Amino acid sequence: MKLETMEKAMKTSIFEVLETMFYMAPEFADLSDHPPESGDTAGSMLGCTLEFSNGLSGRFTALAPPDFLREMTENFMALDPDEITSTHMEGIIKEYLNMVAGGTFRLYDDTLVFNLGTPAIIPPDEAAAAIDNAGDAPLILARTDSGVMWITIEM
Amino acid sequence: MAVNILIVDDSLPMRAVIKKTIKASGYGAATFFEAEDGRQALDLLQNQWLDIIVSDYNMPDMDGMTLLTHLKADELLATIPVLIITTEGSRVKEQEFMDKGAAGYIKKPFTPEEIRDKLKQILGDTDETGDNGEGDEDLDF
Repeated sequence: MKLETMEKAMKTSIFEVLETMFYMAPEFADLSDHPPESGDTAGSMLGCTLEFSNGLSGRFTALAPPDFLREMTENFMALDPDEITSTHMEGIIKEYLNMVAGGTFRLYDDTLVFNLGTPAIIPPDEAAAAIDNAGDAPLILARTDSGVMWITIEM
Repeated sequence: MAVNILIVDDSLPMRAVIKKTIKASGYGAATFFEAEDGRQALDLLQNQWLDIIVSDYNMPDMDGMTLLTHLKADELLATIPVLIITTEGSRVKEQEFMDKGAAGYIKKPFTPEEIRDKLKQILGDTDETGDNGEGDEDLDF
């Protein structure tokens, strides 16, 4: 597998999804500037994972702060801020990761068929560990005024 | 012409967005039904006629491909057009859906205009669409 090609596909997919469905235009940041453990809101972050198989197998993992997810939810569902619940935000990060994964594989090679699992919420510590241990695997940090979302893929 | 539209998706936020997008596409007077997977959709169809089914592919209980297969195996239900909206981006999978009789295939992320244009293509222009013949305007929410 070509890691550079996969990383480029992930970045493009993340931008497409955030721009098209959530009306957000992210910048891409460096991990050194935004390690996932930093900040006193780490415990309130939301983690999500999505497994895939067939040809390549592994999982995507995302970690996002509540403000980032609140903005996504507000834009996606056209809700007022005081209407947004944690259930909404869990649904949003699941759907977001699902779309990013599908777009990544389409951009990587649209002749391959991947079996995508069902996105699942995981503890933020578990998501942060996956990001810490990404090593050479693609790790993308999407930053907006609402914060930074980390996404990595383990294979 | 009033239309009955069923949205099948296990994601509540996605069902809400698809419904909002369809309403903004000129089908505001449509009656909407929702199901979380193919099994619920088939249960609903026992008592409710639908003009179109808008379905996701990946769902926990019964996925969109299995739902489509069940529908096409039934002489009456086979006439209901099925529009697939999915994160699945593989050309192979898209072709598989079309070969099984899907009326259309839209990949997520989608624009509102993609849904509007596909609905018009499938359902034809109705009084509900308020179509002025232009067909290329952006949709406002």
